[in-house]
Amino acid sequence: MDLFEYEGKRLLREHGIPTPKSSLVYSADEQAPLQFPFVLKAQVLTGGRGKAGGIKVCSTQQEYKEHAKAILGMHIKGQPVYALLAEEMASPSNEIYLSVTVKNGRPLFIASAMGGVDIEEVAKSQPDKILTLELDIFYGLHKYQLNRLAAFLPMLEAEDLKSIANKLFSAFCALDAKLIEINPLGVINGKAIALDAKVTLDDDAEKPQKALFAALREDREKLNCYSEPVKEDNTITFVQLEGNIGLISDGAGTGMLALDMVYNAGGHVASFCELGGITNADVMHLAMEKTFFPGNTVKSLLIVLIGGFNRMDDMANGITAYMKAHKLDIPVFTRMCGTMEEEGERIMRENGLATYRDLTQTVQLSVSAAKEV
Amino acid sequence: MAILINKNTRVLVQGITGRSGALQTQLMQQAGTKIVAGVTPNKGGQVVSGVPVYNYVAEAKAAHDFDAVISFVPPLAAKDSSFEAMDSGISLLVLTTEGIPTHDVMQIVAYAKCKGAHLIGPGCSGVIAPGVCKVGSHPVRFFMPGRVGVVSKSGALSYEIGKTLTDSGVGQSTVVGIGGGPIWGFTQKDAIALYNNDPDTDVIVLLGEIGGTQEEDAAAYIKQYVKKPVVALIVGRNAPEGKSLGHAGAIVSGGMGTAASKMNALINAGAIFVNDPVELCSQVKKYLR
Repeated sequence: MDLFEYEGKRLLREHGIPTPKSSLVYSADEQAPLQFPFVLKAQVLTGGRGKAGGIKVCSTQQEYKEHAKAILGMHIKGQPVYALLAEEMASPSNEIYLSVTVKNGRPLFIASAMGGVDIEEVAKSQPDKILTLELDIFYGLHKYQLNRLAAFLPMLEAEDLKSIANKLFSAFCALDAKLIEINPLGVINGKAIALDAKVTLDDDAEKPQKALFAALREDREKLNCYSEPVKEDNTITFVQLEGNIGLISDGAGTGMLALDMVYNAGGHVASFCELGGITNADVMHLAMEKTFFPGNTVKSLLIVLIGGFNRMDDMANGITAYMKAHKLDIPVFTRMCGTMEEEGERIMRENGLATYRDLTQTVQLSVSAAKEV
Repeated sequence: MAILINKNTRVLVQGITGRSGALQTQLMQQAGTKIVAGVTPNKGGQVVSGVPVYNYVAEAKAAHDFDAVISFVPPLAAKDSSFEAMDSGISLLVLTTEGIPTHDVMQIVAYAKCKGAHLIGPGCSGVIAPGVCKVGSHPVRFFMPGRVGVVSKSGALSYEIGKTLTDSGVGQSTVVGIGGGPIWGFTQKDAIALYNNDPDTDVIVLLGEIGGTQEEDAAAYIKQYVKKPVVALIVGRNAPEGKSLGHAGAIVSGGMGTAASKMNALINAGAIFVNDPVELCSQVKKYLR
């Protein structure tokens, strides 16, 4: 779950990292929330707000009304703006970059004196301007790492920087975060203040972080018409592509293999659907529903099954139930092998559907059929 | 001999009383695996497939010898139960569970390094030495004993390739499914290093996916240390950028983790790069001679 700047900053404050005085604005009709001058910032889950005109300084009541109205009506990279963060002006002498993220299965701490810009660009053009520290998940920053960090960023008071770095790592662990990025971290009289915040929480940690997720969701309901995509209660992955062959597989690796084999054979895939870890007839039925959504471009269906955990009789029941209910007249090519394969083949046969055991042959048949249409 | 497991491997099953734990215990026994004990908290005293169940690993340890653990516990139980398993001094932990919180996975991986245990997974199909032993969920029908060592991220892809090889009479010494990522304990490089020193493996098969840098790391190792032929297949070449196709680790973004980068690294390391299972099989046969 990606967090808005104001959510991230609130969490940073709760973990002892200073942020500017601020207030949320939901409507241009509200009174100015702070003393002039202050800055208004669009709250969207994307970068490039400033360039898009989503960040403005307000010095008078009139400016505030105009800017608030304009920004609240904007879409930034396709995202509507539902809230503004009004924040007191900060004039930092330096802008620092600090983040902690997950890399190669370990926490990675990244620092740079070149904050306020795209850090990926700095990493490419001036790698020596970036300090990376691989951390031990159980210990956080060792003393020598804190000392290296302080020497790398001399514009900050060493003790203040070390304290911020430790708090950042504590917050990273306490929140089960996948990323906390402060860019920029402003320097004012040698002290640090977080001027932006980008936090990504781990969806797999929603249960242990129940209270945190619930509070965020409840709070987001205040952003009128902001709604989260509903998390479906299944393990299916569905990705729409641009060809005319529907592809359903019972494994990610075999799905990607079949995808490549279709392209090798000169075909193009309309959609990629992988059943994931939990499979039964209903999941297969749902995969068929997803593949044949209204407006789909599927001209031939390729189903690649290699049963380990999942049973081929279940898969056959799901496929035939869908075909019967929807009187589908699209050619279906099913490669079926593994657990209960004879039973699965029998069910398919009784419903007039062919099955194959050879993957290469099945792929070629589906590609030829798609070309004939 | 095989890598990671052999005919003397003794196994404890965590989560043995669960639906999937109980089923897989039975299937592992049918594959010849010596399963000596199971653990499920508060289910001590039960018997599953003839295997005694304990509340704690230490209780099982007092009554049985085992050197490997396979775990089918729910995601939120994975961290503590993995610590418990590794504290018993095992050399191999196969963690099949998917959806474990990222911070828990980082702790489990770091703990395994400290303890010197091989951690396969999380979210993996585990290890099979066909005809000898299975500490995983591979269907035995797709495999037969032989001299090809296979390592795969995807479980299902290892079944697919196992089937292709077996159907054409080519057996396997060991097949390891390490999981779809994005965090792994045991890596492709680790598997290749073990196969390189395994007297019963003549050809190594590397089954990779787009995303991450594991295949590149494996390639660097192959270039420096491996004399045995390595046949490599990378799937997901036609996946759209920025979208995961079912494995969290299988995602290309910002030009990183592409199939082309992996292909170049592997070819440069002297590996034989193939495009599909049929080509893989014919190359493996060629190098087995």
